[in-house]
Parts: sequence; structure tokens; C-alpha cells
Amino acid sequence: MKLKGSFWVALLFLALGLFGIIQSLTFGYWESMMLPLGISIIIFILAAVEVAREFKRRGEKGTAAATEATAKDSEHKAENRRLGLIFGWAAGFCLAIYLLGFYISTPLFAFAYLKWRRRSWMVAVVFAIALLAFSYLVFAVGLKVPLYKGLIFGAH
Amino acid sequence: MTKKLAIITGVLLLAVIIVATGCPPKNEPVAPAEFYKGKSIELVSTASPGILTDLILRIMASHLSGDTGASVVVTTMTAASGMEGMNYLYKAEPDGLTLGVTSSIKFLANKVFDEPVAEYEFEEFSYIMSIGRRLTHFFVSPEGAYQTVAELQAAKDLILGATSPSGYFTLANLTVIKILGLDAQVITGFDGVSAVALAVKRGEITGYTVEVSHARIEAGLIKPIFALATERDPLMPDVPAITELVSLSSEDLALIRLWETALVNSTLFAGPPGLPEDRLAFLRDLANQWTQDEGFRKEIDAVAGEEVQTYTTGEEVNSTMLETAAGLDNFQAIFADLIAKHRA
Amino acid sequence: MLEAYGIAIATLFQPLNLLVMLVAILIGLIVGIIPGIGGGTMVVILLPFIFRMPPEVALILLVSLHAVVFTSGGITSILLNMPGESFSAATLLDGFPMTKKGEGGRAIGAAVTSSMAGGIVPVFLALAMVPLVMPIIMAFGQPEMAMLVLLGISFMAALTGGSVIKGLISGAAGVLLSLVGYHFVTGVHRFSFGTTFLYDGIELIPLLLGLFGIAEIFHLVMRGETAIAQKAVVKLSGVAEGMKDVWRHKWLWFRSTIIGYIVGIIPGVGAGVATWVSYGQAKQTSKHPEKFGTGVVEGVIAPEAADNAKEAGSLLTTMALGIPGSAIMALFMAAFLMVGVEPGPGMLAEHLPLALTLLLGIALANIIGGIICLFAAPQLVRVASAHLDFLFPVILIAALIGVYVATPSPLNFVMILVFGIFGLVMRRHGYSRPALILGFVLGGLLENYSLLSIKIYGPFFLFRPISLTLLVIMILLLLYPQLKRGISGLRGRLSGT
Repeated sequence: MKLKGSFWVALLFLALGLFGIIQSLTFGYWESMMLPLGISIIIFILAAVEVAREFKRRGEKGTAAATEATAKDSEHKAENRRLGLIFGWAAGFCLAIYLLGFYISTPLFAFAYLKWRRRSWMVAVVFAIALLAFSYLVFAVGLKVPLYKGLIFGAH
Repeated sequence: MTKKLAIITGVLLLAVIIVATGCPPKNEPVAPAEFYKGKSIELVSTASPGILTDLILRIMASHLSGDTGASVVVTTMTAASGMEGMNYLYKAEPDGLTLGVTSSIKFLANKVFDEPVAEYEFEEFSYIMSIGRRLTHFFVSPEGAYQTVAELQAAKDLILGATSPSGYFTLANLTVIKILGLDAQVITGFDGVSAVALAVKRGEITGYTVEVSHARIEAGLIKPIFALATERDPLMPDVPAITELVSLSSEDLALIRLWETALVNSTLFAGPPGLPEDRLAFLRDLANQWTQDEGFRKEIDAVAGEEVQTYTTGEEVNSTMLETAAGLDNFQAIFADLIAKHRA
Repeated sequence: MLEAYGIAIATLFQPLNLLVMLVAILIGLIVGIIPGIGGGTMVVILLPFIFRMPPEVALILLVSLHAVVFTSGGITSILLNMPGESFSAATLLDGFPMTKKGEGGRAIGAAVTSSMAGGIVPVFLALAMVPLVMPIIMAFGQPEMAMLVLLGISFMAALTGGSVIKGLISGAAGVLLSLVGYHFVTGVHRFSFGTTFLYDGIELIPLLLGLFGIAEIFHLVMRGETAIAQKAVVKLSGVAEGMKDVWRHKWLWFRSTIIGYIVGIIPGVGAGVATWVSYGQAKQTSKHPEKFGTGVVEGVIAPEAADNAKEAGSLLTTMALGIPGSAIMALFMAAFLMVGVEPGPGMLAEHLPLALTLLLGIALANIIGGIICLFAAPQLVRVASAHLDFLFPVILIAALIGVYVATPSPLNFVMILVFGIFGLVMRRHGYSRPALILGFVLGGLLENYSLLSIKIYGPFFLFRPISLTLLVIMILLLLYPQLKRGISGLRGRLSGT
């Protein structure tokens, strides 16, 4: 039977614990080593217990559970697809901010996202303008807090 | 129709935004006074909001804006004890539109401790002005067991406190231990100078060495024993200089002189290396005018909590920093030895 | 003294000062709602203008603004799972689940009332406590601070949720994350790989906004949901129910206020201790501790009361002793100096009417700000039923701006996304995000105070009277549910025989 996501997450924490132990041993002074090493050992031991439990669980289920698992698999696939898409949008927006700055990316992102969600042109444009106006009025005019201008139009 | 209208509106808006956000300014050969009008000056703060350096920066920002006709935007970059801001300022375009305010001690401590993330050479900045001259003093609790140098020298297992092992206060503490021959250790990790002062008042630690804070003295938390200098601080004439209390070797005397010259904390206003001469001269001239302005001086005095008497502008700041760099090179070996002994 | 009160009240109710207070309240409420932008940012922006104002006007402006930031800060935690102020994180544990159940109005009513009252009562305690402030601060040395932080961390056990092992892994991971960066005791760079970005460690704001705000919105979209709450009670009666809840749980509110106030008095303890200890003791003393985390109103009342009360304590220490208890109080100290008032023992002697004006101003600002929030609450709750098509861009933009304003580095955009995915994974697989945050907020502090204690007092630093007392309190609180059951059982047996 396939290993569940929980197993891999537990393994990730196990790796984190191991990484912490190895790094901590390079810190030199006992004061700087004490807590990171102690905590990393705790993470490692607890994660090892969790890995073992998850590994044991995968062999314990019968046919009914396997059928249920298959049904849940397709549900998970749909969820993962949606997650992939939404993460893509978020990452794309972050990249746009990095390159173009907040004031250009914000309306672009809002407009593009709403159009992708099949909202009308007018709604998308109005929403994009409203978000831009709000950000500009609050931060640039009201708070006089400089927002990132992007790599292309200025470092700050 | 609605769709077309929406597209046209969107495209127009985008065009306006792109233009308004601004393309990089062209280099125009204009007089500095004209150059700054309508422009945006970025003023980098390497100190957290509320710290004296930051407050002085905000006062300067207000006067700079008024006197140049430029809008001044304050950018706080305090990461890595302000080194992020100093690195940023060092690498900034030397067009006069990016300037910074920092404390001299921050610049210098990083040089002494050879901090790997410090990517600047402090003697290369284009210095405009220096404000203040706050001598370092040694403080104890007013109710503590040790009130004189003799008592400190006779005691065992003293503890001096500081915030960071790579900081100015640790260096000052180590200097005091060396010069007085104290049986003492320096403990670092306190969350700010106030925390160290409280620990002194509680009797958890013996004392600490830091620039003067009148507020803490007035509050009865700490009491100065001596100034780490060859002369008394004019604002605290009752507190003796260390040279009045102990006789020092020539090496130790030279170290003390370093603490009252190069290692005196002051607030520095500077631009990146390579600032055009005419713009640098313009800014220095402005700074000079501020020092004559009673309103400016009152504002600085208000945030400093005392009457600031030392304002240095122009070339003098530059040559002071160059001398400081040369002096520090000589003392790095002594400081490195002190630090190694402490960390052992 | 009576004369000073009279002058203070007359000053406070001058038309100009009232107008300034109202403007400050409105700004403070808005700032409190926007994630990542705290009252500190606004105080910094206003500082240069203070020179040109009369002292009482300038200081009323600042204290009023600051007083209400914590009142509105709980609202975004409750409605959007995004803390408006970094220490509103404890509020979202039960606040957001209440919103999802359609009880957002009730949660806001409880949070605002609790916060408002938590900001008012300590003001009246403040003056009575002035002679006690210095003895309290002097009594709390490094060991006592270590024990106080440990008390906060001990409540991690209360936050583990379903699986104790996963909860402890989460908490330990939070502690490990808190250790990234420059170590101020030894000067060693830990887990920062020589980068400037990680020199000071991981910032709290991207961690909080990523783990909760971004993770939650990802989760909702992933599940195909269309809104945070399908049915939100958009009525004043929902809000009024929350207000009544505070009265029903008045002793819980009172305990939490006192905890927050005492912690606020002690400089350097960390604001996180106040809210987490309050939340933890609320759960431990509740009749239904197993329901905490699913949307119970006590889980909102306790941290909100403590959050606001600690600020009154902090301001008292700043004014009476000239010792800033937090970064924001350092700004207030600067403001005092700028208007020519030197905080410290002399301030109460020389400027007593001004000090009273400020304290009464905090109380009045809390009342006005609270009333505004309560009336606005039914409309604010509509946000929870807004379609995610609109809410997703708004939340993402707010989070990214908040993170950038807090720490202006584009790398934080990456951090917030990484923590967003991490938070989602934790949520999906039963790991406790609150435990991670608790470990993160308090782990570094515990290490610091413990190391300082060992260096100053040696390894037996725990055996000091106050430290031992705190240790006993911690054990009793952790065992409270079992002790209560045991005592009830004993009573039953005795009455049965």
C-alpha cells in the first residue's frame, strides 16, 4: 500500500532534526550548542516515533479501507490541482512584485485573477482600480510608507 | 461596448501607473540646488525607530525636505545590527539621492570585529556632518557593593554586562578590565542597554561601560564612577576621568585616547562613496546652516536629553574618519587579543 | 491629588484634545486592522510632527492611537485568520473557528469588549501601583524571567490538539526556528549560513501571516470553498451576545487582565508571554478544555484582555521609571523627550496632571474605540461571507504589503509563501501551528534568560523564592484538570459515605 503524505511529513521533520543535530555540533560554545542540540534531538526522536507509526499504519488496513482510500485519492488529486494553481498565482504575483513593484503588480494581478475566475471585464477592472487606489491612498499618501518599486523601476 | 471600455480603461491606467512610478532620472548637469527640487531623497536609517540615531535622522529629514524642495523618504534597514543599511548605502548610486544616518560606533565596531557581512569600508563614505560626542563611562549601581576603583580592583569574580559579543559595549568593558586589571568577566546576551542597567541596579552584575544616559542616572538606576577618557565630560564635571584615578602605561594611555577620539559615539550623516563634489559641498553647506539654526539645535537637544555641543561638518568629518581608520588598524591586534581572552 | 485629577479631566475634555483623540482613534483602529502594520509604525511616522504640537496634544494623540490598535487588532485574527498585531495570534485559535461557524459577530463582540475593558481597568490600578512598580521590577531578575517564559511555554501541552507527539514536534520546531541567527550570548551565527537576511533570524510577521493567513486561504481555495463562512450572523444581536459573554466569564477576564498587566510592568519579558499564559490558563481552568481551538468564546476573551492590559502596565513603567518595556515604549520615551517631559520618577512629581491626563486618555480612547468597533462589527463580519474570488487577492496583497512594511526585504515574499505551504501541510496532517508559534515566540527568550541565569547564579538558579513559586504555579496549572477531578471525586466519596 502506498505511503501516505503523513509519512513523508514525519520524515521531513526527522530530516529537520538530523540537520539540527549536525549543525549544532559545529557551533563551538556549549552556550550556543545546548538548546539547538537538545531541541533537535527531541525533534529527531519524536519524528522517528511518528515515522514508525505511519509506516506501521500502511500495512494495517483491509480492503474496505483501500476502497475508501482510492475514493479519497481522487478527491486529493483535485485538491492538489487547485492548490498547484493557487500557489502558482501567488508565486507569480510575488515575482511580479519583485520585478515591477507593488503599484503595477497589484492591479495587474487582481485583474488577471478575476478574469481567470471568469468574472466580467467591468468587475475585474473596477476591483483592480479599487485595490490600487486603496493601497496608494493608505500607504503612499496616508502613511508615507514607501512600497517596493521593483527591480525594473527602482530598488526601493 | 462594456468590454471595450473596460479594456481601454485598464490599458490607460496601466500606462499612467508605469509613467507615474517613474523611470530612472537622467543625469543632468544642473546646479545642486536645482537638482534636488522635486526629486525624492531616500534617507537610510540603520537604527530602530525610537533610538537616538533614528530620531536625529527624522529631524534631519524634515529640515532636508524643507531646504532642498525634495521629498524625503525614510527607509529603515536595521538587519544585521544595521549592517544591511550600511552595505546598501555603500553600494548606492552616488547621485546624492540616497543618503544615510548611522552611529559612528556601529561603523567602527564592525571593522574591529571584522564582521563577515560588513561589505563596506567606512573611511570611503562621503561624510556630510557629525553630531554629538558622547564619552564612554563606567557605571555601577548607586547601592552596589563597589563604589570606587580601588574597591573594584580589590574584588574577585566581578561581572560586567553587555548586549552583544561583537559590540562596542563589550569592547569598552574589556578595555576597562585590561586597564584596571580587574578580576572580571563580561556576560553578553542582555536585551538592550536598559536591561543591562536594570541588572546592575538589581545587583545581578557589577557594572557596565557605555555612553552616558542622563535619563538612567536621573532615575537612580546607575551611577558613573569614571569617564573612559583623559578629561572629564563637560556635562558631568563631578565624574573623574580614569587617568585621574590610576596611573597608566603609555600603551594603556594610547588606548584611552582612542576611546575619547575615534571610539566616541556620534551620529553621522553621509552619502555613498563617490558623491559628486558639488552636491557634497551643497549638502555640507546645508548642514552647516542647520548648526547655526537655533530651532534645529533645540530639536536635537530635546531628543538627546542634553545640550549637544559638538557639531562637525564638511571636510573635517572626512579627515576624522580617515584618521580613525588608521588608528584602529594599530589597535586591532590589542582588541583581538582582548576578545580572544574573553571568549576563552 | 484631587486638584491634579481635576486639571487632567479638564485638559482631556478640551475640544481640541477631544478632536485629536477622535482622529487618533480612527487612525489607530484602521492601523490595527491592517496586518503587519502595528501601532509602532504610526508612532514613528507621527514623531517628527510632535515638535510643533503642545505637549498634551502630542501625547494624547500618541496614547489614543496606541490604545485602540490592540482593540481592532483582534478583528482580522477573528475574521481572516490573520493577526492584525503580531500578538493577536492567540485570539485566532478560537476566533477564526467561531467565524467559520457563523459566530464572527459574537467573537468580535467578545474580543472588543474584553480588550476595551482590559485597557480601562489597569489605568485605575496604575496609580495605586506606582509605589509597587519598582519593587516588582527589581524582584524579577533573569531566573524569574526565565520561569515566567517557561510558564508560557508549558502551555504548549494545552495547544497540542489531537496528537501529543505531533504537537510537541511542532512546538520544538518552533523553538528551533527561533534560534536561527546571531546568538547574542556567544556571537555565533546559527543556521544563518553567512547571509545578511538571516543574521537577525526569522521574522515573526512572515511566519505568522504565512502559517495562518496564507495557509488558510490556500486551504479554503483548495477545498473548493467559496467563502470563509457560508452563513454569518450579520446582526448587532450577535455582537451583543459576545459582549454578554465577557460578563458571563468576568473572572476569567479579570484574571487575564491582571496577568497581562503584571507582565506588561516587567520590561523585557515579551508581549507573547501575556497572551499565551492567559490563553493557557483559560483552557486549563475551563469546564470544557477539550473544546478550545474549535471556537469557544473564552479562547477569545482571555488573550484579548491580556493583550491590551499589558500596554497599560508597560506605559506605567515607562512614565514612572523611564524604563521602556518594549520597542513601542522606547518610541513613547522619545516622544516624551521631544515635548520636553523627561520620563522617570520625576515625571509623576513634576508633571502629575499630564500623567493623569494620559492615563485617563487611554481609558477614554478605549471606550470610544470599543464603541466604534462594536457598531462597525456587523458590517465587518460580512467580509467572512465575501466570495473567495475577491477575498483571495485582498488577503494575499494585504499579507505581502504587511510583510514588506514590517521588514522591507523582497526575500520575505518567498518566506511567506514557504511558510504558507508549510502551514497548509501542518494543518492537513495534524501538526499544531499554535504550538509552533508559541515555541517560536518564547523559545529564544527562554534560552537567553536561562543562559544569563546560569552564568550569573550558577546551575541552581531555580531555587530562588519567586522562581520556585512560579514553578509551583506552573505545575499546579498543568495539573489543574486532574486535581479538580480528584477533588470532585473525593468530595463525592465523602458525601456518599
